[in-house]
Amino acid sequence: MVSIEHLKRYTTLGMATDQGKTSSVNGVLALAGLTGRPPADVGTIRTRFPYTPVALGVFAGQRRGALYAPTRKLPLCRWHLAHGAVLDDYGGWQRPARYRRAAESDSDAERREVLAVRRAAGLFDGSPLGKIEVAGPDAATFLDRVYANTMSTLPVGRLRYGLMLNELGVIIDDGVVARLAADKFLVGTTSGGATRIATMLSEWLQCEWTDLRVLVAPLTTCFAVPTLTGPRARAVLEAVGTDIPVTADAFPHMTFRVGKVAGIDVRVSRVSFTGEISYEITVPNSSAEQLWSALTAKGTPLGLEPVGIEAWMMLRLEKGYLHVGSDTDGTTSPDDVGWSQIHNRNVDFIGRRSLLRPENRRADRHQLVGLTPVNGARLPIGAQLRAPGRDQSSIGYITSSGISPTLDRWVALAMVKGGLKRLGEQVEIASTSATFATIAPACAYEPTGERLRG
Amino acid sequence: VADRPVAPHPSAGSRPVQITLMRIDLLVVRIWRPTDAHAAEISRTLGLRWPTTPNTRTCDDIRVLWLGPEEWAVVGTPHGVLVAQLAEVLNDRPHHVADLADGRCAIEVHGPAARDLLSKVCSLDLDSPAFGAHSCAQTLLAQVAVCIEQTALHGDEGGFLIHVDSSVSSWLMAALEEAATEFGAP
Repeated sequence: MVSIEHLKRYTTLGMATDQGKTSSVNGVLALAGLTGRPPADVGTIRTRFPYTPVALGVFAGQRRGALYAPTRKLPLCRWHLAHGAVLDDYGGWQRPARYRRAAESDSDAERREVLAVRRAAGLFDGSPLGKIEVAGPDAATFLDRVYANTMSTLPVGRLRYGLMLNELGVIIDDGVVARLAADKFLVGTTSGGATRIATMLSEWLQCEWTDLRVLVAPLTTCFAVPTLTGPRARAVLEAVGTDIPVTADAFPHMTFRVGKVAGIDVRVSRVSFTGEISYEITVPNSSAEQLWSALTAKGTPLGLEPVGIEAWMMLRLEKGYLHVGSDTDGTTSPDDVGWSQIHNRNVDFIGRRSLLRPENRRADRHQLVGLTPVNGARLPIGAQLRAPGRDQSSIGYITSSGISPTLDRWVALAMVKGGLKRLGEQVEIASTSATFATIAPACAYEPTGERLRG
Repeated sequence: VADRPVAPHPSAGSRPVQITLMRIDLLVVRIWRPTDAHAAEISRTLGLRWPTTPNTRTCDDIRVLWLGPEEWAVVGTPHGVLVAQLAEVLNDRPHHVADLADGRCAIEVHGPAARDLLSKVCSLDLDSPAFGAHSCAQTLLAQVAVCIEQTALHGDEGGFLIHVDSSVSSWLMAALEEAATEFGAP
């Protein structure tokens, strides 16, 4: 090695905080000594911008403070702020974390909102949920390949939950699909996945399946989605007035109807992320505030309360419903969350082949389970778990947790090695010494699921 | 090709750039594997020109913007008639029409400094002739996905219309207003 440029690249000499001002001089002298040359013959490294310290703001330019990154505003933002909402950033959207009343702490507010949903009714702003129309004669074939489960058998007017995988067989998104017509579906994605999934669908059509007659139309931000949920959700809907028959027989769980609510043209979907009777009402942005105000005006006497995301996440956690990105990571397969039935499908779909690799068939993969505290143990999110006894190695970790207002105890979801076959076994919470939890099914509250059908 | 205007537009007063948020009527039309024959037939039946050259627009009473090989934006239009006419022309050809009036809005930037302002937050060359009266482009403006076209709403050459998702429009307005301060905007 004779060149100072080699020395720089092999040793990173000349980089770091002094940018070579001291270290490079020492390096030149050392190399001169080792190669028997005068330092002037060794030369100096080619200097690059910046030669002198530059304030970070020069590079940041406009990108600082509120202009650091774009934030999205809900169509109902004005209403939320006027009613005590504390907004926070969720995937780029400014959304109500909770609606705080005077003298309430954050956790008081969240607890009140959860209990309102379990006892009466809640109104949640689900507007950022992805809404992508997939249309064309081959739309059903396309969705059969895009989802890990079958969509072509879904009848018009019905809803079906679906999981999307990438080519590695890893869960990348989930959501509810509505069949609007024989050749037209509405693909529901997670709020964070709306843009990404629309791009992915187009990419598969443009690059791989150019023969499929399908068009993809992202419509996410055209509509607001006030979501009514709770045992009195139906009563609230009837109170504001609708031309949709809403009895459990006429409008069952996992179906949708098009009609008027409070005189406004909407689509109503019976799909639940809380375990209670729920109506997701999809309404054009321009009518959103009118509808929301009508629902709260007629609903408040029935015990309806606006509900923020934090309460919403607790409601789904009590039910053990999967939250992609919280409970899953870049390795989680459908088998890991109990979705092994997709191996029975006889059509190919994205990620299928990867699910058959030995790595994906291992019995000791991390699997999603629930945890029940022993003797009131805390179940902090992120805590590592180990089997009681001498082996100190981790067998899993807590992915979601909190103190359930409904059950008055900690509830948690965890990824545990071979967890689905360890139900009833005890694990030790490694981060809080000598506390234990029992591995349980994911659903902690009302496992029979009767409430949401009602 | 017109030179840049040197005097402020009368409505701009003493301000070299004005930024205005507005609602627009916007349809996005998607046609599966359209042929030139489809474009010609649509033009004839709908009585307007249907652009087939990438990143161009036509500016009749109804403006049509080419957004992609299978995708167009139609700005300022009676919705129902157009949808029915398209369905007739396209017959069995798969197509989709989406009314995005509730999901998009437009930011008009005009005045002598409009082009300089956009150049600060956009890497596209927006100067004539690279970007002329018949150009449109989807790009990033201050990190936000937009579609840009020139506007003739004020009869000057210094105006641009930026189509942007309504959820992020107030953020983009703030970013543009901040960027405009160096041109003396309020």
